[in-house]
Amino acid sequence: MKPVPHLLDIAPLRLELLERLIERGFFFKRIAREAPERLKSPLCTGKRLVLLFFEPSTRTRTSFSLAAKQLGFDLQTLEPGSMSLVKGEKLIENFLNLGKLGFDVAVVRHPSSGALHFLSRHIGVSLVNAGDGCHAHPSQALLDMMTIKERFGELKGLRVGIVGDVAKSRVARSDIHALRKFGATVSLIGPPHFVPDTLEGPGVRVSHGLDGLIKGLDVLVMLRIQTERAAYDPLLSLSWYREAYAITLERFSSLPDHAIVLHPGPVSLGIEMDEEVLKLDRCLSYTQVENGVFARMAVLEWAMEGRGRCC
Amino acid sequence: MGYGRKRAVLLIRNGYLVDPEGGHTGPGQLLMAKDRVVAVLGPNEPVNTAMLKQTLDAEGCLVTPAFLDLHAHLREPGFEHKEDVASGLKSAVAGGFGYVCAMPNTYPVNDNPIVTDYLLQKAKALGLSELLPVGATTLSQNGERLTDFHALLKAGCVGFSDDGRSIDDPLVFQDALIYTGQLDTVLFEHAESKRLGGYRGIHAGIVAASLGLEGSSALSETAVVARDVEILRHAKGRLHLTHISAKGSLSYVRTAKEEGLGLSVDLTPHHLLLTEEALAGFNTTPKVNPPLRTEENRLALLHALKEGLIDAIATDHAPHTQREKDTYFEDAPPGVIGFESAFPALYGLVEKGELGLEKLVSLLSIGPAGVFGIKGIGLKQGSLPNLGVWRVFKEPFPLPPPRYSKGKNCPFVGIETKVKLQAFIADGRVVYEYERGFGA
Repeated sequence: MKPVPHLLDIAPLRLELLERLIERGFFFKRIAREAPERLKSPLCTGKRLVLLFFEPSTRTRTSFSLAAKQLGFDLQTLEPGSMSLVKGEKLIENFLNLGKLGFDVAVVRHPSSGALHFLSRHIGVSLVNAGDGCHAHPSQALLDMMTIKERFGELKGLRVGIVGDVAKSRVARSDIHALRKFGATVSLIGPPHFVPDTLEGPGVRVSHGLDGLIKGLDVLVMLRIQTERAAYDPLLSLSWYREAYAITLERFSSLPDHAIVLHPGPVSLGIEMDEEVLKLDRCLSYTQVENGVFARMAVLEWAMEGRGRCC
Repeated sequence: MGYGRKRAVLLIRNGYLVDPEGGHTGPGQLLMAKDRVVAVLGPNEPVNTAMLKQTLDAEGCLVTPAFLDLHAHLREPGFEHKEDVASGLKSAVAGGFGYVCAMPNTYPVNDNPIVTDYLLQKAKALGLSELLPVGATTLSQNGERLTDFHALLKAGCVGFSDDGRSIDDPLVFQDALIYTGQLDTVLFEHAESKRLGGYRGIHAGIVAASLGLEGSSALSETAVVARDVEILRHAKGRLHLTHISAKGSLSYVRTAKEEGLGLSVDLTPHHLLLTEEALAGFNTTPKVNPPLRTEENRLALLHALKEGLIDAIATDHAPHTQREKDTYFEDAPPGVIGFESAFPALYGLVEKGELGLEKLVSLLSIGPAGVFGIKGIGLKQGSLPNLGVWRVFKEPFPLPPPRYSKGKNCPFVGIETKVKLQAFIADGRVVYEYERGFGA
């Protein structure tokens, strides 16, 4: 099997590669404004890319799809409805077929952590992880880093708070890896069910209260409560959760004046974030969406660029 | 020359005897008949070999009693693609195990004497290790209604277990214990609470947290152990806690033993030698229930072993095919195989000075035998004539993949060891040799 590059996780990537991908994202963003006809990449034009989402997605799927089209990929979208209840064997067979059909890149989302790592051991199609269970969402981390960098110029030394259901969040895990590589420090904030102590590590601290920390944060990343991943809901009540952790206008005013708020979406308005906050200039969730396309263009181009050499 | 020596058929000479009871440890010879060890002799004592069928030169080898595994899955009937009685018992012999407790979670479940009888007949025809069937505690292992312990014991079961799960209902658990007292048998318990997040195959520690997998906390075990000990205190009877994995469980075990309750425990080689780190990168091979935990837990288990709190080491040999394990983490079945790797892997503890050789052999032989009150395992005159002969090498070598199990899920392949099983003797006969396999 020919070695092909996969983007499965942020953790194993070198900082230089992350920097390069982000710069490439900014490049695409500039070209899109100045000369959109030049976005097509000769590396990607006519190459076959398939989107395969075993979980629902609006933002990520649309974003990847736009990114692929702008680069000139021949884009296919497979509906895994008939494969919705996948077991390992069936999953691998579906993917072996994709290889035979001549696909170069597969952008995959799967509800099980590590599903793409398993697939990457068996198939010769470049895999781009669009989210696997609670494990990783590397393209989201890239677009988040782009968005933060755009605002602050650099990430080193920034103090980032991630608030919410971190235990079940693949976005948080990938953000933590990326932020640490860039030299930012991270506070994970939420009730013990959402932020277990096992997530602590060098430069990453766990806290069960937001108000004591909020004044010292440069970036606040708000997460949604992932009810779809829990068979059992440990929360006492949403009103309690709101009172302790939601970003309301009042709480927003406690942030330093330069601080920004991110949210990977979808936002549960009135739960973790209020509509008034979403509309503020320093809430960059729409910028995140915009940057998402460019970050993903950088990723897809990299996947094609690296074909034939091992990464 | 006494009466027994006339019936001797096999002499093992030049070996280093490892007597779990200590008396005969050292260079020596063993004279064996079909039904027992006839004599334990000094290294230079002359023996008339004219009447013997066979002589085995054990130069450079350890001679141990055959081991007894309290916990194994032979998968037959129902899952013969993973293992069957023949492949399982060959694998057991190749790991030095002469007695194997077969857990009842087959299809059909061993919850009636027909299945018990089927297993015993299969094993008997092979003439290798002795199969000790463990009957299901509840019908279909569904935790609701007790099986007919009386009939299963008559058919040959040695104890009862709903292995693979705990008995959640405290009343059913209590009644099962009461009957073990009445019928002089043992209840095996896999202590793990599903409700408290058990059975996820990975510890709720830093590895699971970084992989985005939900793990099983130590509490999912300790809470059940605490309940079990409390019920045992009231119900009396005989309880055996198998594959304890959490440090916190040990204090309950200690208390129960100090009180003189009918409690015994075993640990597995994988919980003694590996930690959650083995699962990094979504490695499915060491996915087991209860899971491999942290170094702190591992060291606590090892300490308990050294201080004598632990009765036995059991493998929890649980074969799965390569194909079944080669999938994404949540889809992979839990379990590792253990027969052929147990002693070679554990021997590392002896090499490091963590555990005495006699102690290790004891934990694999007379220790587990004591759980049932089985007598005769040992290296003295009158002991059962089942032995392992282990060649000891000067230089360490990587442990090769198991040769006889159908399962490929061995977490110890490639670790360094210095021993391999040279020969195995069952009923006074060499039934296996490393070079010749079972054809000898």
